[in-house]
Amino acid sequence: MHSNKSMIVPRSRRQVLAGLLAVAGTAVAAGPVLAAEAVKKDQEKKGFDTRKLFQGLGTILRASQGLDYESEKTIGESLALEGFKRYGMPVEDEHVQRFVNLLGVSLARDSMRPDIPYRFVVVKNDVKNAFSCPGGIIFLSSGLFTSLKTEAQLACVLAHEIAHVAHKDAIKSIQQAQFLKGVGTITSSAMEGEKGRQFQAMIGDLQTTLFDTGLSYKMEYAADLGGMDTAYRTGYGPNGMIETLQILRSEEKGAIMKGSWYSTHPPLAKRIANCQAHLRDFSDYKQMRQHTGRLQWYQKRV
Amino acid sequence: MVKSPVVKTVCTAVLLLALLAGAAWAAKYVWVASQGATLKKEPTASAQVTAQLRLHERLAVLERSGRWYRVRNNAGKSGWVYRGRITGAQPKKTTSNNTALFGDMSSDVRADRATTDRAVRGLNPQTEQYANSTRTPQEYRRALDTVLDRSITRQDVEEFLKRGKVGEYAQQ
Repeated sequence: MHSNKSMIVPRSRRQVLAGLLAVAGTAVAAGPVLAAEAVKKDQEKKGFDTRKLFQGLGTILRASQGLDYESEKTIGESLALEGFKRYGMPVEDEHVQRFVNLLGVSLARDSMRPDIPYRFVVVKNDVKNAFSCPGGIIFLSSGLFTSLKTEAQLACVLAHEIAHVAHKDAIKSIQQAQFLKGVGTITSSAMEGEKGRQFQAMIGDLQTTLFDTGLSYKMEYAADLGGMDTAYRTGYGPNGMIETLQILRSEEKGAIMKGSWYSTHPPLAKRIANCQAHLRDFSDYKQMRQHTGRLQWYQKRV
Repeated sequence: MVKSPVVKTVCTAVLLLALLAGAAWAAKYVWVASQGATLKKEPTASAQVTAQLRLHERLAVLERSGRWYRVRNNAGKSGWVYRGRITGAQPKKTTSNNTALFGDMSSDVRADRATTDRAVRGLNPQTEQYANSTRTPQEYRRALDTVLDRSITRQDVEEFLKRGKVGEYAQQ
């Protein structure tokens, strides 16, 4: 069940950044002050404080902070195997896979969690969907990939999924799992016997969440906004997120619902409204890259 | 009122200290928030790289020009950095091990080399255990292995952004 809580609404940028930038009062310091004010204004407007915002709102995982990255990766890789079973095999075109990985890693570099390896894979499936596994393996269906019109839209979809990895949303959704009780590192011995069965049950729960019921609305809204911020930092138009959601809305009638973004994500109208409100923070978004002329060439190869 | 030379000297020293303290107090910082960020001699993508920046490194802001910031790091190196590579909020470290976006942080040579080194890529032993216990067909394991084996280097990313005229490579 979704917890239909109100979305995380950023407080005023001034409040969020309060204390970060002090006001100087001397002539000697005038240079740095002016520069700092420019930083402040620039970042207040453009969502540079997202990290602080999310941290401040307590979205950084606490219950499973004891789980090391290798263990997170084990959970992610196991889930990825189930992802192939559920959504199909990778598109057999290395140009397509490499393009999506280049874009994805470019975004991950500027994301809220830039210090882990990310991998992206386009799978052959008409259902429009994308999801992320713990540890950084991100799936994108060929149906969604070929629906998009601009590179900025694709950037925003990938950045949305990167944000889920950064926030450790999938791990949070299973933090009550029996398997994780008292486990900080998943060793080979922790995969045997009863513990092994508990691990399988946990991956099963994770599949249900990511492939069928979806993460909480709050997590999705935060990933939308975080994705817009990341895309913008890399140099893509954050409006790509809104355009993607509008494309999905226009194609909703007659679309396959089961296992799609329609069934695993919050209502599109609400997401669009949230993103439109956030877009106002990016005063120069129209100057960001929308098209590069590359996307369509790769779409034809799928 | 006429002050003695000693009082004048003390007052001057106190005022000077206050000014210096004010300047230090007024120093504004940003943090490196992106892997592989660099300092450049000029505020353009094509400018000479003067220093490599470490993730989470603190930088003092000196001035701004468009989407570029002139900064100085703790080692005293100054130069220009693109706005997308920094953040105004001190980032929280998310990993405590040696993982990195581009694999081996010390060099991209390993990432460029075709390898079957399981310590770097491929399914880890615990995932293999899961695959065995769930009787996952080999085709899915191979598919995942291929995904994990695909390498993207820093140079690849720079070239990709450059060709697309994205971010710091955009024509302004």
